[in-house]
Amino acid sequence: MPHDQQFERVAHAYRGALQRLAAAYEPDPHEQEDLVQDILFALWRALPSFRGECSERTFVYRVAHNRALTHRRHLPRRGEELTRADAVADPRADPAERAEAVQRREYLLDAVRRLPRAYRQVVTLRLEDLSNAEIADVLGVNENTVAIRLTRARKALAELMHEEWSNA
Amino acid sequence: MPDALTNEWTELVEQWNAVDESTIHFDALRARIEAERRRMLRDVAVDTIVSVVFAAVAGYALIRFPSAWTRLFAIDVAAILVAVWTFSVWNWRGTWRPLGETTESFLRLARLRCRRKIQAVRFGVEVTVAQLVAVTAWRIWGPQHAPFAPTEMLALLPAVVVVTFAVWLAVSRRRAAQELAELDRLHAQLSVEPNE
Repeated sequence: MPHDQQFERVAHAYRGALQRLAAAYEPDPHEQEDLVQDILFALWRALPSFRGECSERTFVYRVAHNRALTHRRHLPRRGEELTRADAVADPRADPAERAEAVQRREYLLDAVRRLPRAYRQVVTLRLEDLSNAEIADVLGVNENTVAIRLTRARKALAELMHEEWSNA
Repeated sequence: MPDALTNEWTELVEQWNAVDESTIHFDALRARIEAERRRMLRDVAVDTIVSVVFAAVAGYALIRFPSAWTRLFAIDVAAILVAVWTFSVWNWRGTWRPLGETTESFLRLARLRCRRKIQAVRFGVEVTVAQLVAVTAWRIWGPQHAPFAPTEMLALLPAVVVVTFAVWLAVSRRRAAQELAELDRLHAQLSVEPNE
């Protein structure tokens, strides 16, 4: 499959996950868009070297996390429109339910952003439904380390979210 | 029976995925990809053109004004070109790795790149100093009559080049050192875990 086709397939398949990851690292929507673009650009560069030594999902998350960790804040380039992430409304959800879901997600995101980086990594990967083995494969640590970090991260997250709710 | 921890994560996963996915417009990304392609080609082209120009000037001097001094000048230019290209290839060995490494490997590689940048700056300083010594020796013991009439501009040109290059080296070193410090901090944050 030609590179551009493969890239577009991967970008479409993982766009939600990349946007959620960007939101976990950058609070500002503009910076989130910039980070998503950075990650997609990194994926475009990295995909030709993917030889199946790990799963595609692991590979995508490796690239995404590596870019997110070292993301530099950029100003919007003059004359160039950043990729726009226009939220698509869910026509099925009750507006009140949807508003509550959005708010809960914001509390969760705020709490995740306040976690130490080591915990933030394992949490964001766990929330994307990766197993401990897959998380270990992305980060290059052993499964025991992942399990310990997840336990501590979950506890820290619970405290932070309780704080968020209390301050609301 | 699912354990309590799994249930907790399940609820968080539901909250995490609560908002629908947004569409991504690829136009700006395609433009950036094209810009990156052009930038890479431009960088290679500039390096190659500068090398060719230096080699051409030395070759022209050798042919047009044959003498022991122009031979020495040509050897000096050739030595610099060989040293710079050899150093470039040697200095960047092992750093051409894909971005799909584990976080651990990626950070190790990123820090290695920074250290190599600092090494490259040091090499640049050494080459500049060596050239300053060579040019000074040339001015003192070199041919008394230059093949072309010396002008103020030609006399100032080496000084301007050296100062510009020195400033560029200093800025490059500072940037690389700052980036290395940030990466070291990041590596420390991701590595320190008591009782793991």
